[in-house]
Amino acid sequence: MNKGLYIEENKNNQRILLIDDNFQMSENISITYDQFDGMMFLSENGDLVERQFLNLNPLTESISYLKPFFCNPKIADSFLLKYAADGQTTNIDDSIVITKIDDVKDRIKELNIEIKHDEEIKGEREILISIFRFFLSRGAIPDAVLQEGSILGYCVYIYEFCMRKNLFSLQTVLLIYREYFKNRYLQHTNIIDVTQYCKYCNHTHIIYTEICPKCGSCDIELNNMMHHYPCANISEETSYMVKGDLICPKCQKHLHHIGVDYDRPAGIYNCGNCNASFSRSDMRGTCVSCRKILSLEELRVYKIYALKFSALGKEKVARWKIYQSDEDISVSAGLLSINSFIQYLSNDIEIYNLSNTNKGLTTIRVQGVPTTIVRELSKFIFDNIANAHCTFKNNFIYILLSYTNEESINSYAKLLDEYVKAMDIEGYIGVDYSNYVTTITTDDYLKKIF
Amino acid sequence: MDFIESFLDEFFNWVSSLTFGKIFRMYWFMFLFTIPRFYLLEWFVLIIRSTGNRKRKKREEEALKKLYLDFPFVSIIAPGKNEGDNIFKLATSLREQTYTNFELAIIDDGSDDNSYVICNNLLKHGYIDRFISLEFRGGKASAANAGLYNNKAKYVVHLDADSSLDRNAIEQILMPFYLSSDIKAVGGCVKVRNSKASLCASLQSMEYIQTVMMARTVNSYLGILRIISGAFGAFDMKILKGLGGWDIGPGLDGDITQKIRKMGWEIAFNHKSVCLTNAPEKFNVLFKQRLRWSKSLVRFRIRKHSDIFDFSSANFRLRNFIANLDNVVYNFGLDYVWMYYVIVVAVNNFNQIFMIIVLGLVVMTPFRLAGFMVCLLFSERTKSEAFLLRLVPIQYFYSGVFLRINRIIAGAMELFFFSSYKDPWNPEKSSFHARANKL
Repeated sequence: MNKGLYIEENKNNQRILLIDDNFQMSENISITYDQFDGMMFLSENGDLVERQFLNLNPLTESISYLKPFFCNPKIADSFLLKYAADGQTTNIDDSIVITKIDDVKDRIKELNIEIKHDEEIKGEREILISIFRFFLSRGAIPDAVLQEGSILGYCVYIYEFCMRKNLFSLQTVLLIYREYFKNRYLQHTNIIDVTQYCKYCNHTHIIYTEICPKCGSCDIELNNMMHHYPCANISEETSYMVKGDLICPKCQKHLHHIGVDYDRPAGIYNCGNCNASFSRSDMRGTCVSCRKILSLEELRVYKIYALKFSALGKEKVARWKIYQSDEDISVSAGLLSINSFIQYLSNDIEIYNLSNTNKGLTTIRVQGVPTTIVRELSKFIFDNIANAHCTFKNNFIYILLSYTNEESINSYAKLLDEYVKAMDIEGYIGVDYSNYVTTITTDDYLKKIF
Repeated sequence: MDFIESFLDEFFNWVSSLTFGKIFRMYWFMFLFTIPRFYLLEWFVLIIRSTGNRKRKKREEEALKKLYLDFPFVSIIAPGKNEGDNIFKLATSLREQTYTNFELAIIDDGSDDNSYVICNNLLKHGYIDRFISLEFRGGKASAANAGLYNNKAKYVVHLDADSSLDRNAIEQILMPFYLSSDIKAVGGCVKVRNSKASLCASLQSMEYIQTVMMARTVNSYLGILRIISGAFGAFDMKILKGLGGWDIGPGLDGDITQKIRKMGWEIAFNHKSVCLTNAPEKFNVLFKQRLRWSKSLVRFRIRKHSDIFDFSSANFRLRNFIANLDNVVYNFGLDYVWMYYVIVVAVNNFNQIFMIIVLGLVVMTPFRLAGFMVCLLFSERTKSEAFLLRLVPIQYFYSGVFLRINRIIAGAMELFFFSSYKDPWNPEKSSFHARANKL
């Protein structure tokens, strides 16, 4: 057992992993997923707890995946983690510990939430879906609360914590929300607020200032105007004030009744900078974060909703693969989907069978490509190989080359091999290519390459 | 053809049988009132005026120099409701001005169209300098007065929002202020922009040339100018603010002129300061517009400023008396006399009524033709306005009949029913008080 980590059983026979100040994050953790039911961070040092939490992160780490965790109520300087935790206690027999652990276990079982404790969760998207699972396992929803210092003004504590630790960005949250709303996995219940944020840095901390619409100066002053009906006099309200009465400065008559003798048709602003007069000022926003000045039209609107998972959403989050499909990876990297790739291949084979050209077609395979480098590799391929049609399947990148010859194929294969080898990627197998063909059927060819 | 021949035979026989005495008795109205006032007097004054042309030109050049030496800041205010579409045109024409030390203030009198958006954009892009949007419509007077608020200019130019100006119009309207320190208001020469749009607009174009450009030049020379047109007029800011700005209309332009004159100040007219405006293109629209204008004569000149006719009043001034008397007699009293005249002639000569009209036209047309040609010679747009000459033969039916009937109706409506106070041109809340306070 690592120093600073120890497991204790509570009165309900639940095994709690206790983490104290002595836990060193650099060490390999010797405990396994099945050895404990919940975690308790005992330290009052917020920074330390945050670092400990990241080592035992129930969102990403296989040994503690979705395990309930508790923090010391006296924890300082880490309010986000404090509120994101399942409870604030240092007593393993506390009722909140007992009920929460049982509750999470039951819910994971009930919803059949997939516990991926044998794989590393690193991608932004995966972490976020993991958070969804975290919420599902707690019977909660990602509720936004008003929070000072939060980029959007509102935050979900666990999101905010992860964003501050650079685990994912706000853009990822917004993209996945959009996708989930589109697919009806997430639904709005009601609108909580509408915020405006800076288009440059996505920050909502904007200082709004009234400005002159002509010169943009904030040196403006508002005066309320009064209109005396009988003599058509319009001047500022203060010019009518005489010893508590309203007396028209033009005809010296008393004003008795608004709507009968007079009204207030406008407030008029005067600009101290350019001397312009206007009835409605413009508004500008100054972003406190990036200090850029924006017009209201430039500010982006974000609606904060209360959310809930739909039945479909619960199923998606709980059971489906967290990881993106090959199809998704292909498309996001600018490659063809497998179906489109086959379509291209069929067309090319048909053309070759009909034509008398001495040039042929082949498919280069880059084998053992992890999902994380697909995007980078595809960029390299498009930059260096003209007219290539590519797809990604089962960690292989397939590159279809038409109107080519063996010499070119060899040089391309060599180029790719050198490039990937230079990246020093674990699991990389190598580059090969199928037979250079001029006459073949599609089905036969597909059998050969896939 | 037979009918025309027989009519001409009959007409010439009838004319040859007439004596001068008979002709005078038939056309006494024309000989006694129309020709002496609108032709002989004006021509006489123009001849006298032209003798001092060289001297006047020199004085005007000096005044212009003084203007540029002083280079006063001028505020051009254009109040209006739902005039957004016209403002850009106005602002563009102002950018072309030879005189540049001015600001443009637009006062939106409770518009319910897209005027606010248009004007705000123009303000942002520097086409206009002040934009005041009144939430509740208060009428043209209050909107214009709002334009005076916090206004530090030395002179105010009041424009209709649908106007546009000649390049030198601002310079020319300011010039008379430097001719004499007693001149505290100057009228600009309003002409019709859409003069070829319809017969109705062409006739008004002709009328404006005669009654605005020519008649006001003559009146100004005689010192009896009685109106600074609301469409284009310049005022000394101190005087205007001292008067409390404009009072409730319709006819607020005539009213403010009266008030300035009653204070003893001079007003002037400069025909070289040209402003173009759109005239109604249909006779029914024109008829309504003129009813409003004509009613203001009774309301302001006869009722509100009746003290001008009071010899015992401290405000009494002979030239003001003559100016108003001329206006009241020729644009109000004589219209009823004309009506009486028409009835008498028609009753006494019922069988020859058609021939009487034809002869009247034959007698008057040379005067009208000569009168309009004098106007054209005087105008800075002689060539482009020459096409209006062809309308001279029918001008009588417009100014002699149509407008006269309009004035007769308007005068009676205002005199007996105070109908200007019910005119929707002004909001009811203001008109109610105006009537209660005899304004």
